[in-house]
Amino acid sequence: MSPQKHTVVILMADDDPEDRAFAREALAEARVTNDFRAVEDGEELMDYLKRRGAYTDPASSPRPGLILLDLKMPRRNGFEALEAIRADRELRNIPVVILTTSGADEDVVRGYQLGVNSYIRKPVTFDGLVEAMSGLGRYWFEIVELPRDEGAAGEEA
Amino acid sequence: MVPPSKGAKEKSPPVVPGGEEFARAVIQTVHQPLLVLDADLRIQTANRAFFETFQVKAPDTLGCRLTELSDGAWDLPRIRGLLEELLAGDPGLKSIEVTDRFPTIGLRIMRLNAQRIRRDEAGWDAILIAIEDVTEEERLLRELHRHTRDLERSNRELEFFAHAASHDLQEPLRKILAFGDRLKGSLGPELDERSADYMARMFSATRRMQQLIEEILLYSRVSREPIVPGAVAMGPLVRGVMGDLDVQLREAEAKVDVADLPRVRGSRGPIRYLIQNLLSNALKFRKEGEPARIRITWRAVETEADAGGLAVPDLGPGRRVGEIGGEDPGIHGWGLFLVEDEGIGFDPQYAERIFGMFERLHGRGSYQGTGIGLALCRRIVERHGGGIRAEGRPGEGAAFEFTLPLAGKSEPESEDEEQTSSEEGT
Repeated sequence: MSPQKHTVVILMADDDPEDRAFAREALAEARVTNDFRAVEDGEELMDYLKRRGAYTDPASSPRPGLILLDLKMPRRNGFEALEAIRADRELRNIPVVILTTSGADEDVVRGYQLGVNSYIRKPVTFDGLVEAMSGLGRYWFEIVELPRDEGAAGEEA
Repeated sequence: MVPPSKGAKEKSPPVVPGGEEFARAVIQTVHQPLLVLDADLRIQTANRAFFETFQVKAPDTLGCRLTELSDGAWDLPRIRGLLEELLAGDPGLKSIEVTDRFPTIGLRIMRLNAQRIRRDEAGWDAILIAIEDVTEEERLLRELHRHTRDLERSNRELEFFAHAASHDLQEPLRKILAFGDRLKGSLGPELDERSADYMARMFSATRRMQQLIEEILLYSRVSREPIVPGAVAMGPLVRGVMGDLDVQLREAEAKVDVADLPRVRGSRGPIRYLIQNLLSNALKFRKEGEPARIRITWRAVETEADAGGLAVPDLGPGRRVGEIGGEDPGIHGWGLFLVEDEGIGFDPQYAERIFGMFERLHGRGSYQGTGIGLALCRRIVERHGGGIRAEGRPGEGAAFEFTLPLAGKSEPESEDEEQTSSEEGT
């Protein structure tokens, strides 16, 4: 049986603080009530997922049930992080959605080739973002089944 | 000599001037410095051009060995080698280039043409040397190359800058629009009509700026990317564009006549943009209340004159040209394409100006557009080696003519992806 939907953590990786704030607000307005966490770049994302660096305490880095991934980030960009996630046996099950300003064909293709679940181009308007988050919430937390995470037994999500 | 008898005119051989007088006259008249050396490599004859060019006098020159002249300026291994070769080996025409410092006239690059001639009667050999001072020519060529390299670098930097600047400008714009949106959401109901109007105009201006930047990015991307030539079938391409423009075509109740179009040799993405831009302009500038009528035709041309003065791709040495309709990869003639409409037309005095960057003929209120489309069309056509021009009359429609190289039958299809007009954000 899949985890309680409202307990699923959404983890966002985006270097733009305003975009992180927009996403949080849009999720709230779309009444997607999940626990929302954010990291600033691909390197911090990997630190969080692998519980190292600033995130060694599991309480600080609950395993996400969905990752929203920006592409253009310093230190380690979205594609690099995606590759690392998909290469890792323990992390590769986590659904990843690219959420980026880039609409370039080559980025879309590369994203799917690297195994992303979906690719979303950031809506220009806030209303558009709310709609996207509402859709995301419905799709990932009401319609689809999320993988139960073997290692999550006993974890607080 | 027996004078030819009447009636035997056709049979007598043509008179060929010969003899020493003639030879001397030719040598003296020729513009280039000329020398005649005997088998001992001594100068028998030097023409006036030689004396003038090298600022030497006859007494110092005639009878001397070439290598003894002008403080040994001609005493170069390559010249010695050339002369030895002519004497001992192949007497045929040879050409060398030497650089040396000459007294009075300084450092010069000389091109020498030399051969050995045998004079049958007397039996002695002569070596004929024609000399060309190519110093200036070489200097100009070097300067030209340097200028071209500088220009190319400058262009690359400008394009890169335009791209980078536009790219970075998009992020703050996006934020203005995003926060403006939030502001509208939170303030909206409380705003009086005038303030709401101000806000709407602000956002409209911001969106225009965003569109402008996207177009600049598209322009710079098309400018920077190399043209990867392949065969592009114009017929299917036009039909594809018309599919994309379906909504506008129906709004305009457009009737578009497309002739049987050939395969051109170029990059599919940019060519698609070209057609899309010309077609959507024809639709945009139609006469109000009338269905739009557009015609696309073409014909093969061989020369610029054929094309009415429009640039026909310059092939340069080494690029293959085949016959129109030929087989192999490479360019096979050129196509002169015509896109004409029966819309509002334009004043012919602006025929050149409309291809300028950001040039528009109408105020923003009347017709939408950034004024970059035609500038980009020209850039695309020119990058393929062709040219584009416009003709029009107010109220009588417009016609756009452009040239593109034609592809051979076996040219492989152009593979590149179509350019989207969206660009990367942050």
